[in-house]
Amino acid sequence: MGYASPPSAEEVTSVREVVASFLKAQKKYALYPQNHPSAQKNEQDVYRLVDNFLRRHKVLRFDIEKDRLLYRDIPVYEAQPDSENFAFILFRDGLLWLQFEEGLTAAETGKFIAILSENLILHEEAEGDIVTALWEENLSHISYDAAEVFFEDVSLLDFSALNSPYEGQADGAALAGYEGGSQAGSDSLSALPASLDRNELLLLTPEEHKILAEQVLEAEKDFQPYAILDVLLLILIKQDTPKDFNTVLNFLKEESRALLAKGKYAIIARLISTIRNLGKTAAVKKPWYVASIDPFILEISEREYLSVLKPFFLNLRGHDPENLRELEEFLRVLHPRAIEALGDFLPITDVPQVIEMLLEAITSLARQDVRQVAVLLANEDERIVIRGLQVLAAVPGKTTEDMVTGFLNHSSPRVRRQALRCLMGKNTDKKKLFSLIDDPDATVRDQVLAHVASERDVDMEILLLDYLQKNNTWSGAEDSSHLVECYRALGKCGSKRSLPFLKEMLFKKSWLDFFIRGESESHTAAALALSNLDLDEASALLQKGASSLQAATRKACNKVLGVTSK
Amino acid sequence: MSNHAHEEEKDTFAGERLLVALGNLLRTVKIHDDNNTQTLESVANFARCVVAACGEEQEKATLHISSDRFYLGEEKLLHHRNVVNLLDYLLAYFAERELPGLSFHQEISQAPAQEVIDFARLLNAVGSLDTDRLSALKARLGNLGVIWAEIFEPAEGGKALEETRATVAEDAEKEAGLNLRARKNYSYAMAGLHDLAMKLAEGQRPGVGKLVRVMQNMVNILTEDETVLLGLSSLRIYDDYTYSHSVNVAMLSMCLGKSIGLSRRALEKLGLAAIFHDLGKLDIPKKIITKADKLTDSEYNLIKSHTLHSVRQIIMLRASQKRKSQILLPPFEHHMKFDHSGYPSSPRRSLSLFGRIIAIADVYDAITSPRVYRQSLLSPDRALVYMKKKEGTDFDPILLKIFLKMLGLYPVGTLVKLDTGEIAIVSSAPLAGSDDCRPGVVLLERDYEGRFMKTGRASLAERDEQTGAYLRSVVRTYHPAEFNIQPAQFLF
Repeated sequence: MGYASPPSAEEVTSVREVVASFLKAQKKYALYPQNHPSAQKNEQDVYRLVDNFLRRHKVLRFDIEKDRLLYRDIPVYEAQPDSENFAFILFRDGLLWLQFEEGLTAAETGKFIAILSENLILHEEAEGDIVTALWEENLSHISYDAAEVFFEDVSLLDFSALNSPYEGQADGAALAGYEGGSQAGSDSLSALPASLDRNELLLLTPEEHKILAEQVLEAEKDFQPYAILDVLLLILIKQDTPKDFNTVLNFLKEESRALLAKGKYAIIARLISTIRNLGKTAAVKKPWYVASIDPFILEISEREYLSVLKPFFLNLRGHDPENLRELEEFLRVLHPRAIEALGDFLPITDVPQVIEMLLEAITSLARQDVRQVAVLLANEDERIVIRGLQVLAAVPGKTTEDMVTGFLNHSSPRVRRQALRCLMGKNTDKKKLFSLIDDPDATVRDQVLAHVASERDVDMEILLLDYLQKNNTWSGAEDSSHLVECYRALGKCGSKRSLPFLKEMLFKKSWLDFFIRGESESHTAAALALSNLDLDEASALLQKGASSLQAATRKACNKVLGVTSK
Repeated sequence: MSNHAHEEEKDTFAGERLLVALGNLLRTVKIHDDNNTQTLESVANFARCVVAACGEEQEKATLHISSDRFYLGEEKLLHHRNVVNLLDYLLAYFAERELPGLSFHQEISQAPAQEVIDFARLLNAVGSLDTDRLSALKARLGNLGVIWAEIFEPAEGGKALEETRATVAEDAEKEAGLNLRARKNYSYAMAGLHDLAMKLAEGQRPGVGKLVRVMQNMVNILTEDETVLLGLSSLRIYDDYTYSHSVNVAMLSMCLGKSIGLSRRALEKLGLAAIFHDLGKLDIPKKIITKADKLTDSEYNLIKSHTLHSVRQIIMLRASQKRKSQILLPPFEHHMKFDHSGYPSSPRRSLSLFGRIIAIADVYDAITSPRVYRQSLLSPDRALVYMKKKEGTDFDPILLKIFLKMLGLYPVGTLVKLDTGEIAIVSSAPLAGSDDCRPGVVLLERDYEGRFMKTGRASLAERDEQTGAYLRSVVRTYHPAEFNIQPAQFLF
């Protein structure tokens, strides 16, 4: 392209700076995601340079050659032997020239850089290239022209050489008298009866305009939720070979993912149920269905696949009950493998109803395969572990018990408490539960005792008696309050079996009695236990003790009986 | 300097903004009530654009048409590429109302919103009158008492004529370039489709990049002049029917899509869906597709399965999930028929817009293409009659109306005999606002070897200056194939 006058040195320098900034930005994009601060800074630099140039010169046009870029016939970029050829990237896709115009925005600049970066490499069977991407973006201040380089070998169709199937059959000279055609007005739209209004034929009514406008608006939307799922399912069922079946199934899998990202849970739940049933009902005729469908269900239950739900949980402020219900419906049709992914979502939401929904879904899956909960239990985040234990509390079975028992020794008291709670509802070996009676954490100990005290139980009574007999040192304050609670619990769970021991403890002579005529914790504890036993014999002992000469015994009994001791 | 440059930039596109605002206002009042938020916003925006277009020195802004182009005052209206569809729509809109132009005054900023709405509704309503639309508009405008709008009265002769000549020469050159681009893209489309089909047949997974490029080029051509693609769609490559049919259907579909106002991106998607609509025929043995005798039941079932195969073939393509999702539904649907009496049967739901468009384009191209298994051959105009009878059953009645209007009563590619004894091929649809029976034609004559040659162009809307009678009218129509004529040869 010839130019009237060459550009000034200052102009050329500015253009070279622009090109250098493009190169730099494109390299940054290759290293960082678009929203990375480093990439964004480069993008801003490019825009600043281009914008400054355009404000002075209105237009920045590059003529593109294989190894160089020209500005008004002056080379402003030339490819170097050992580095990437930037000009070729543009040349390769057929660009002849590229022009930036005054008014260019930062957003347009960013999009252009993204287009360059995403199309650096042109694959042999590409979906598009720089030119198609520029067309799609339709950037108002960037224009270009491109040659059709992908069709250089294609010759122009010669219309005159195209044959007719009736060649030789009709004599063209007879055209004037040929009767084979249609007389105008005999069988054409122009001859329609007068009763049929031509306007009605060709003009839309306002109502039709409105219907059409709505349909066009709908068609313009990128996302059309349900439309193709029915079709894909129908296509799937019609496939007769494993290869074709898998091809369609894989496509369905990705389509479903896109729909999940849009929150269309109910549809996907129904789809998965249908596919699952297909595996069951049609497996006789097509036994390879199972080999395809099972892995499909597994894949859509994997962490990576379900990560598409993360934004939903992250951005949740309130909750839509219907939406939540549909999400739960979807989660319940997954393979229990999904428990791992669902566990990831637990700590990122603090909406109680959502957490409850997640736990219910996890529990439902755990009932199909409780071993999958192990992944939650192995999580470093204690909160996830606790949730896993909460789930296991609702799942019966030996396997569950075995999984939980190990957590009775967990380093975190919260976890130990939860494990305890989990096992309390099951037929667990009581020794295992009781073993935490000496837990370093008071709340754990209290929980054990609360459980022991919850009902009369011979096993617990024996365990507690044994414990008390071995741990009868009333030395420090902390120990003594614990022991008091143990005695209280003994009274709640115990029977006549405990009477001899309690009697011994109640009437035990303390050498301190001679020196301190006050209360004794051990005597009080024994009295408490007797009181809780709710037995006549226990009451008799208390009555006897109330008149004992030993002050400690007497005071303890009177305290428990509610009488002021003298 | 930069501020001044920005000021100039603002002025440069003030006309475009005014037109966009006018178009938006006219469309909005069709759909929404007077007190709808969108209606009121479009009124306010339109008023602002009028004031901006007037600027500080002008008391009014005049939009008028000359040589099929909008002007703002005395200057050609400059516009961006993305408003071309709207410009075409408004050109047709003004032509339909015999409206040379409109002037808007700054006083509009004081006018009540209801007055502006009534004005817009008036303009819309006038379009449905039978005759004398301009007179009716003038009268009703007067009754409305609007002081900020008036009908533009063009000046005669002089500078306008000189400009027209230059424009005509410019347009001729542009047309030649456009025709060549269209021919090239047709060839590229055929080659691209062949290449893709061959790779699919070999079990490969071809990319769609080349055909995306071709579709984008076609959208660009369509944006500049849709009659070019309509003319090209009359091409019949009998030795390569399946592929040429697919390309024709793509072009016809895009033309119809443009007529209903689809965006360029939607047109690209539509074109891609349409060009792949019969991809599934790769799975059908050719001997069945080209069988001249009646098909057996199993053969017919096999043919019908091509819609399912098309979907599978599209899934096999190397393209993004999103793109494939956007284009696979119409190939599945294109034989289902509007009333769902076709195939394949599927749970009842409305067919997609693209599916309904492609169904119309597919049948039209098919029934106007001579095939070994079809005894009767319908000329394009008779094909439209045939299709008209099936509106509401086979075809969406609204889309069919637009398709008929788009093609005109004598579609491009129809071979006609005129009352002057001349033979011609319809080369362009009637101009907006003119009689539907009056398309543009290419005149033909036989040379000494009996071959047809082009002798000139004419418009059947031309009248004798003195008597007012039409110079030429159609007396008979034919299918070009009956006389070994390939219309595209003479149209390009």
